[in-house]
Amino acid sequence: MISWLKLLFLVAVVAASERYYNETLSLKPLPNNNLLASFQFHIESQPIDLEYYDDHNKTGTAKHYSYFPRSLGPILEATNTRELHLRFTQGWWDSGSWGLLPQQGLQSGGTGVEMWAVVEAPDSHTAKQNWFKLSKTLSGFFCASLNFIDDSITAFPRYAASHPKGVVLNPSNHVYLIRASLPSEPICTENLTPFLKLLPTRGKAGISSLLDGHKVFDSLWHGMSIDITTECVSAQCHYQMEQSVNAIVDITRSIRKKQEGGLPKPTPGDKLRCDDSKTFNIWQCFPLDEPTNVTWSLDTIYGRKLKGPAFIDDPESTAIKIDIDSNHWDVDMKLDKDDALLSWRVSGYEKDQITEYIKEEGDHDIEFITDDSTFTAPVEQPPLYASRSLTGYSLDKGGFRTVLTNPSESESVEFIYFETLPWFMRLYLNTLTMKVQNSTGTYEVEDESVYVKNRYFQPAIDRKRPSHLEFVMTIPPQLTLFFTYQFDKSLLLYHEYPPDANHGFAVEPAIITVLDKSNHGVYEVRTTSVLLTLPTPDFSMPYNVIILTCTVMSLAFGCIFNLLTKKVITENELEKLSEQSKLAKIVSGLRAKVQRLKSLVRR
Amino acid sequence: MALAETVLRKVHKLGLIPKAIKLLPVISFVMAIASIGWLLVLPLDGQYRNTYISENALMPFQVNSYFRESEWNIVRGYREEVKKFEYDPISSKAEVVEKWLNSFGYITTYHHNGVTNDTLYAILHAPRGDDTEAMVLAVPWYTSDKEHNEGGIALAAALARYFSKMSIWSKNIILVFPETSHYPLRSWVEAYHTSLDQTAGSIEAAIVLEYGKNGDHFDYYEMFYEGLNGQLPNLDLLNTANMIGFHESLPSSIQGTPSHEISKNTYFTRLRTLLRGIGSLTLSGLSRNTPGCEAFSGWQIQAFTIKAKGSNGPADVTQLGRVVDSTFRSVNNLLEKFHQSFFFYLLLSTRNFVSIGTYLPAAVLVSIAFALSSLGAVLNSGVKFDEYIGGLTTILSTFFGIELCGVVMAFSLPYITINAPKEFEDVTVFQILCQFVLINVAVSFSPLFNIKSKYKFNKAVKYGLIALSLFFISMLIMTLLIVHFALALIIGILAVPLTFIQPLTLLRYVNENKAQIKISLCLFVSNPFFVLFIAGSYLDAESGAVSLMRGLLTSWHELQCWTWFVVILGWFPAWLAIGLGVVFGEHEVDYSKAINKLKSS
Repeated sequence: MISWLKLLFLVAVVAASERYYNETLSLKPLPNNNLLASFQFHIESQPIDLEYYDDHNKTGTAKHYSYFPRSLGPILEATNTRELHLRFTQGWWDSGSWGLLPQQGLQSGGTGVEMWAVVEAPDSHTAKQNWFKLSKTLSGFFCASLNFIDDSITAFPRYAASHPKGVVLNPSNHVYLIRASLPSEPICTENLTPFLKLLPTRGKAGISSLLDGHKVFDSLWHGMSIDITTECVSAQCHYQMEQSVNAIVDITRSIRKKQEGGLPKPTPGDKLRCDDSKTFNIWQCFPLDEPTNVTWSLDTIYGRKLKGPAFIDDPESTAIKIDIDSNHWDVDMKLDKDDALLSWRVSGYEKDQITEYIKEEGDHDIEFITDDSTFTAPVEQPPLYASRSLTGYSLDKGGFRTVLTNPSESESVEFIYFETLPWFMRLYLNTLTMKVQNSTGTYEVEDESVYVKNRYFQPAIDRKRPSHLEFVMTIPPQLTLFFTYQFDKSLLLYHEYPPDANHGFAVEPAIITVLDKSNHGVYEVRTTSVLLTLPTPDFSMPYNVIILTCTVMSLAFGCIFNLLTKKVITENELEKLSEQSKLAKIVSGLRAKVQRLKSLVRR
Repeated sequence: MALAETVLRKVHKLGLIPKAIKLLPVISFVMAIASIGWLLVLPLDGQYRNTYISENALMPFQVNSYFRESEWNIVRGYREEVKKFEYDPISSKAEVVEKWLNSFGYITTYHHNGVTNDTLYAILHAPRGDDTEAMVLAVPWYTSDKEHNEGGIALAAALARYFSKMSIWSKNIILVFPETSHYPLRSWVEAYHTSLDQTAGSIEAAIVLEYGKNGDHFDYYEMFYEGLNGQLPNLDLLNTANMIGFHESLPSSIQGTPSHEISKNTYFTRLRTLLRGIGSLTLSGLSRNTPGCEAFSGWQIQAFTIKAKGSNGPADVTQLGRVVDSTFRSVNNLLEKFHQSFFFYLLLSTRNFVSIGTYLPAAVLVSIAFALSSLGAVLNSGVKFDEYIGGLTTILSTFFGIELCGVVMAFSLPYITINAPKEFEDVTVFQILCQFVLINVAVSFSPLFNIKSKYKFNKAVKYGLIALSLFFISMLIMTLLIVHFALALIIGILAVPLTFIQPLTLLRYVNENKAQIKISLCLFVSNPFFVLFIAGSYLDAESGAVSLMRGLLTSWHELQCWTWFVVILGWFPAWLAIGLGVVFGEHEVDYSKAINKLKSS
């Protein structure tokens, strides 16, 4: 299956090299009434004259990019970016029931926004400067907080499989692979709109006409990606851009939304689907599972229809690929053209992979009919399962526990484990312990080098650099490897705590790149991000301290002021003196008068 | 400054300080009475506050819960199935429920704790959520009344089905089915933070659901919220649930007070709730039939237990489901952790509370009472300062010796209990308890019989020991009172008779026998294990004090509850030191001097 996909990919690449734009929508029903919808867009620029931009060469020449977005080209050139990769992903990929990530995971990021680029520069400092310039420019461009990328989260991956190919325009320069990610960035419609603007069709025709923010993001998992590379044949260079939107759609929910609206209202009594074999009356119902004989179409999911091909003059610009179990599924293509409704069946006997091209103008809809949706095209097992969780009890320290499982029966899997951790997690690599589990039991790993072929660790610098950890590992078949390590949580400066609304600090996902024999990344998978609660001081405390300090100060001032201005005398002297004071004289005078009055009264 | 000077001079002139020193035992007693008085004042109008939602994001009951109408039929459908497998082994029950949950799209796994049946848990990963936070609905197979949690399981299944239909979740939902909410649940929570492979981010809030065989209707719901070691869930969470219950017009109750009782909201119902609240917070974690919310203590998880009571009342089963649903919806809204509102409070009813600033002085007053009586023991015993210095080594080494014994017991006794064979567990606990009671009787009453002993403490050592122990208790209360107010207060009040001993030893010179009996009684009554015996017998008529003692001995091992250590390393050594001071203290005294002293005071 993998080899078949590869072939397909190859074919696509070959086909793509002949034209500047093409797009593919792949649909694959999955078990539990889910659907994997994958939108792929391939765009190429015309050959352009690239130059190295620096202080001596600021202007550059005007260029014509054809289908490649005019807005992106100058940004890439001004920052000497040779490759740019952006990922916007949200959700948890259920590898147990959905299997392999679309496009071997090479287009899926971790939760939030991820960005990496290959920048040409004479040294890493200049590369970083260009990188920050790039991220700040793209921030507004994609309505994402890319401007928050700074030194403290930027890393230079070391063992990355997708290492820069090295398009260097100035022979004295190098290329630098730089990466950062923002795991707490929510992905929403405002990220999709600029994404669609990059397409030559602008979301008005072709498969992109289906992409409605409300529908795309009402999925179980979704990811958008942009990959721009510079391809050079001798001195002739051009940009190549792959854009993709992948999503897992819950068909049952889509159908329900279409029929009943968005609210999860209780099913009316007469529409309850009950199990007849159990007690079933007007007061009681044991619910049946969701129906498996379903009919749905693109309109059910996206609320729209596909508006003709991307380019009328290119009959193969818009392709639809469908992956089904043809014994249980039928697929109909419907075309609404000039008020005539055409319908034809595209599926057939033992035709599990269908490729159709949209050639005519008009609203296209694809209808899926199945008698049993539990039968789907085979779901491929990923080469590796990975998960990572937070351990520990207290606020001052914690730990990470990573579980990596090789489900394969016979083949061991080699991969790179890449992780960057924010500087406020003080990592103790000496606490790294490994355990393995197979069918016979769980064992402590004495010699780590059996599983860890190579390791790289760069400790963090406070506020300057994240800790950066890379392992090149191998796991034999049918084995689960656990590794744990501990860290301390540090206190931040008071202004570094986010304002009120914060539920912790997101730690970016670890990236696992599975390698093939020739050390090429063939599959990528990410763990989920993690929320870290840091010890947060009581911010009202400074006010208490100020009040307390002021009180103590004023008391001290009172004492010292008294000591400085008053004379120290003995108690006897004081009593004598106080008798002579004015007030005492008045009091004694009064007393005398009272005495006299009393004596007068007595008389 | 001048004012203070004047006052001080006046105090000095009137000779108030020596008078105060003589009156120290009385002042100390007044402080102890004041502490109780303080508690009695709290339920008065104007002293407590009405609960309110502090965190605006929670917005309780702002969304309509659709867990109603035909969902009722579904709950009933599930309940019949749950009823069918009541007598099956838990593993086969779990299998059935697991199948249901899988069909809703939950990912199910088991946790093996090695002691009880495996705990089934299921995760609903929030659609397009970031998978970093979770809410837990824990449904034990058996309720705290050892009843089959029939309604609870059925409700959980129906809720799970209902939750899976919604795409609004931003936090994952975890359902846990432990055998009981004691050790099985606690070990699951612990494993979740150490060794489980399937996790779903940090747990923000947890609800334990108990709905036994109450049928379709129940009278009212009761909430349990005490955590371990004095921890309480954030008041906002309780208020959210209560406010939702109020809008559902569900009668509610806390602290074992029936809803019709608590809704009267008079001084006495409030006082009763307050005192019961302090009691149950002190004893939390010591019983095996726990409501389960304390299993989540720690890890910054806010948890409470909701339990349906009665079987023919006005409330409907889906209403309880709506309380759970709406509470989850509220927690789901949170963009931050629970950090507003109160973490330390005492509830007077479901809608009234006192916060820590208001009730804390009660414990502070007891602590001061002990500190003052410690001071009194030093100053009033007629021992010169030099003599104390001379006896210091003996005092400290004796006290250290006692503490050392305490440490040995603190670890050895739980070890013996845990490793005892299951069928002998009760016997072991009973024997340990008997030995403590024997020690109590021996130490308390041996001074009545003039047993001659070779070892004698001189007066300085005797009073030094008493003073040190009283001071030790004072400090114990001081350190405990913010963390575990209830335990600090209860220890303080129950140990108050210890403060009478030093004044009574002086009285003994006047009327030896009577005073001696009083001293013995004071010692006997303030012994922690006597208190435990009485409390245990009152709480659990069936197995008596044994179950409470077993709870005390095993709660650290099972739940990480440190009440045992406070008792065996704090209260008991202080009691023993005073007891030994009395037993081995010097009897022959200068009668005339003492009598003069008494006369002059």
